[in-house]
Amino acid sequence: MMNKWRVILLDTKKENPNHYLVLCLLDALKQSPYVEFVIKGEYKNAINLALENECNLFFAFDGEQLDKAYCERLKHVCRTSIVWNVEDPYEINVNKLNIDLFDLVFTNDKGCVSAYGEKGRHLPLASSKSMHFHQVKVPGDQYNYDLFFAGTAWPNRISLLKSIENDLKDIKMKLALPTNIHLPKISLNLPVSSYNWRTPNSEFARFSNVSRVTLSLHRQFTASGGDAEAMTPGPRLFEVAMAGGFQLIDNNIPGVEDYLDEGIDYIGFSSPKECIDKLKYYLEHKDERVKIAKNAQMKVLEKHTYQNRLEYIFKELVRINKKPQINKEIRENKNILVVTHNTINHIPYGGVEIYQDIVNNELRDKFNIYYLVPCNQKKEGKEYIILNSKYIEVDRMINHQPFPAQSQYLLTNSEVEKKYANILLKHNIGLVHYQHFIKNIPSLPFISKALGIKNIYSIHDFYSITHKFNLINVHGKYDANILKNSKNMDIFLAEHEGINLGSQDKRKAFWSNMLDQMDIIHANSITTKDIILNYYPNVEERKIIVEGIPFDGSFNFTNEINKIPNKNALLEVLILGNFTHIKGANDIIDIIGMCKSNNIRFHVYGQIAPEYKDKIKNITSEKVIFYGEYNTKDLNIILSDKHVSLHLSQWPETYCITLSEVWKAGIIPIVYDIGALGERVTRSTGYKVSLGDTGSIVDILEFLSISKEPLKLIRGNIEDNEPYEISEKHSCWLSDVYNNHTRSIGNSNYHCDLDLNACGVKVVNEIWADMGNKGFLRGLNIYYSIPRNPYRLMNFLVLQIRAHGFKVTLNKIIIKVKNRLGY
Amino acid sequence: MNVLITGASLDNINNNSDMRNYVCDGFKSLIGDLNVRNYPLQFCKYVLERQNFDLILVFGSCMPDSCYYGELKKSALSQGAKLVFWLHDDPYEQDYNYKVASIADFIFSNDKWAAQFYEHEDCYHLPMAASQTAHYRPVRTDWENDVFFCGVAFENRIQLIRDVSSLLTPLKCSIKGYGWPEDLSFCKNERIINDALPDYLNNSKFTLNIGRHLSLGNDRFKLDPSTPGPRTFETAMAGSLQLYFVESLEIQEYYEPEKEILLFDTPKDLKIIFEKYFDEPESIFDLARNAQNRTLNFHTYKHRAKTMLDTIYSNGW
Repeated sequence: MMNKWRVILLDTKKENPNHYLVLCLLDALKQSPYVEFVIKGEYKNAINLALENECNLFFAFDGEQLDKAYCERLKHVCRTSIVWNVEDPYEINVNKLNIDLFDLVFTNDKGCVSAYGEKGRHLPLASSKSMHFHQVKVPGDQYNYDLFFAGTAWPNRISLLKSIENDLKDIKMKLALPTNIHLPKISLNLPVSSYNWRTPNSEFARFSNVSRVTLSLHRQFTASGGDAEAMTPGPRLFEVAMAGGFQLIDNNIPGVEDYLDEGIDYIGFSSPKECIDKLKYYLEHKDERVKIAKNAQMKVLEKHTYQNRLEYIFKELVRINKKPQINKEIRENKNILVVTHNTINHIPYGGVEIYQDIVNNELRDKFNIYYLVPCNQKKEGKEYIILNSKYIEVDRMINHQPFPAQSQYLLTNSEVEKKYANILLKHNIGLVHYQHFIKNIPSLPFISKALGIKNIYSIHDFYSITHKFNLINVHGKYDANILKNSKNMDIFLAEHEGINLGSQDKRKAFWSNMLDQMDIIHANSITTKDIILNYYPNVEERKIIVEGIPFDGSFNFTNEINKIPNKNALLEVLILGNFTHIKGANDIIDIIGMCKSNNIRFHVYGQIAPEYKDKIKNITSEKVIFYGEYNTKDLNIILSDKHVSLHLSQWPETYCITLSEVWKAGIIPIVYDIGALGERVTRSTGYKVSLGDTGSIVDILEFLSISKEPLKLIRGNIEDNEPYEISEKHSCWLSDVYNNHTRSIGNSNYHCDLDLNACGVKVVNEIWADMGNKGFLRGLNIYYSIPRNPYRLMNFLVLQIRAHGFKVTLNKIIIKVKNRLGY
Repeated sequence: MNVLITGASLDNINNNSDMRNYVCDGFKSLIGDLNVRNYPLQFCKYVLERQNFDLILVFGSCMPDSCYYGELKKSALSQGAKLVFWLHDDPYEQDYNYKVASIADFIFSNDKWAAQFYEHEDCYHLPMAASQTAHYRPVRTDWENDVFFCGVAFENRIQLIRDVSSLLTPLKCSIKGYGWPEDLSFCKNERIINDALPDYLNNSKFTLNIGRHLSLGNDRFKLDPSTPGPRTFETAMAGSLQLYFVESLEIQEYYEPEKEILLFDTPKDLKIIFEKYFDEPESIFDLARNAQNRTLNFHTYKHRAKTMLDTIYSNGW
């Protein structure tokens, strides 16, 4: 048995008021004996639908506004491709440029066939029984109108109507003359409301059916540089006939007689006078009129449906030896794009950059890894740099305009999306790994997805929930309630930045849709996964894979380094990481102050936040040593001779690499029971207490300072279980993920014009954050911007310096000034 | 059967949340008061935590950027309930229906033409309707107004009213709604609350029915509406004779011209109508009563609820 076609049907126009033609064609394809499967796609999903359904025929319809790069990909997927251009000759100059994408080019206009060379075929539009058929009215039936005409107000049409309008005064007439700004003003002596209206195509058929006479006038106009006059009549010739209408047709419309016979199926006229004469004649001779309408309807039912047109299309495919073939997806593509906010070659960097680099080191021999990062020297959104795996620039994405607002408040940006689409195609990207959306826009995954590229998203913090990604409120506390109720989140954001109530709902709705574009969501911990699922119940749980992130295990740890101390030896306590409020600096100060044992010594490594510089002076001693910033190369020294570590993050960390590092060094962690720390540490691998329970931590430290046995026991458990992710294991997992999800659809040198709107996603406002909430909350002095009033400015500075120290305040001011200037 | 009815957008930004009460009443009269619950979108999660439903009906407009249905979808899946959307602003907001197309079990669109353009296998047409409780008024003949219209002053409406102003000026005519230019003596830039509207309608000899051209999100297909809006059914229920400006003939599927409604295409037609009917209160009464009876018999929200459930049942529930 002959294989049948599996068809992906794409309307090439991103905005198409005649999309009903595609629906008619789809209906016919579903009934075609040549077709085994058909699905209509949009730019947002056609490539994926074709891949998922192993389509072997790409059927492009309309031809106008065709996105050449996108359609080239669809052709690669399906192998066989055809287009039915239906705006010829008006769009012939543009349509000719797309010939190379298709095996056959069908044109609605007879006069344009030769322009397409050997590939050109003539195929007029048609009618659809399901959409247009009405029983022809018989003598005795009621009509609504004597004369009906609906069509764009092309100047030649108005000219004819103007010449006959005086003779139409006693005729019940229904005119629809939609116009546009490019057309001359309509000069008819009629009230504007009587002709300035539009109606759906289904209703056009009904108007034709309930009118005694339907007028057809030709079009002599083009705005696209093509020929101004078609050689083949448009679809309405067939639609009116299918609707049982009687047609009075301008003989200037070329080609009508190729389909219907004058005097049998319709009545023609060649002058305004003849139009009026014949109109009056057939209004009076209803039997003749009905007979002609029935003839026309029978003829289009037999010869001019979309089924008839498909018959021709599929025979022509056979004629050029195109047969349906089984089409399997080809996966081989090693080009991975990492979309991120920064890489390790730009200081300052953090855990995400380190993670990216670890993956780079492990996988760059297997994959071609590229990075898309914002150019920090330019205004936000102005430029992005594409780096290779050696962090060398290989391309640059330059936009005409910077973002209209800070990236963290944006949902979409058309220019960036289009440029991004072209970067993906140019570099033949097979998979995108989104690492962070800071300084990026969250619409990018819609673009990669639409191009048939799979998406992975690694969640390193809670930026996917709010741009205040560590969920700490202005009072310095993590409050889980912000995740439970949108009003709490509203207050959280209003207090932070004066964002208006309800704004976050917009971000949430958009991001939930964005997360649906991800093929895999990589969470570092079960806690993170649960938080995401609770906040976004629409996310499919199966998509979220929990996999820890590796640490740089290059430091040379041996078990001998951290020997269990003797009973009377000091308990060496390590505090590793920036000494900030978020990392628990206040609690650490409290703990140090409460510890009365002489057997404990604290070693604090990491940058001291300015607001703590004075405070630590009071507690520094030989038992409390602040070392300041450290280099990761010195980790083996830092981790040596320590017994216990404190990890007192105030927010639900998504993983915490430091925990892996101390475990690897045999150090026993004491953590707050929150987030990934609470999840990863168990009774057998460390100690955990409730958030803020500093008293218990003091008890544990003093207990361990006099009893070293538990340290030995827990260290044994850590050595047995190795409860951390190592880079070799992680890279093996990620390599499998990459291999299983990359796709090769081919690169393109054509320009791609795909943005979020073309992907079928529309937003009312591209900025989700509605600023300007002027303090309704608890009477707090909340400053969302730097006050200009001298008194308020002074008050602002005093409050800020008191709360954050001089350096932090200065940094904040610099950032706000930069933001105000658009940097 | 238990049905939860909620809004497609948050009530604090939804001007049409009253209509949801009509839908709720329709379902209650069909399947009983105790089986139907009506809550704003933001409160549904509290209801769904404690009660199971067979059908969750989301009614309204999904255009606002804040529209999010993740919680509803999850609850529907866990309870085995059908998640059904009935959108009432097609085709004017057609571009936004992507938000529901991927999660709905069934979609009902207020517009027959627009319903064909959804990317969803189970999308059906379900026109708006009238509520007997809210809109019914006994047909009368002691009208204080000759001609009445209430609605936003969209450009096409202003154009039509200007075209017929010479006919309206001599009459007791009242045109109200947001944005009406007051250079037309009978127009007033004044909103009428929903509760008061049926009385205005009822107190007018003729009520104009003029569609809308302005779209808020209809760029993809640039669709024109085919189905008459809710005001058509509400006016008939309120016992007023409608003069319907024809831009689609689908109206004939709901009301019979010359028997239940009068159609006009031009100012000239309107003049003929006035000449024929203005001094014929009994004819006007008959037409209005016929339309009201038709509405009571076929176009209440109870009828729509039944059609919806029949459609769902016949499509695999």
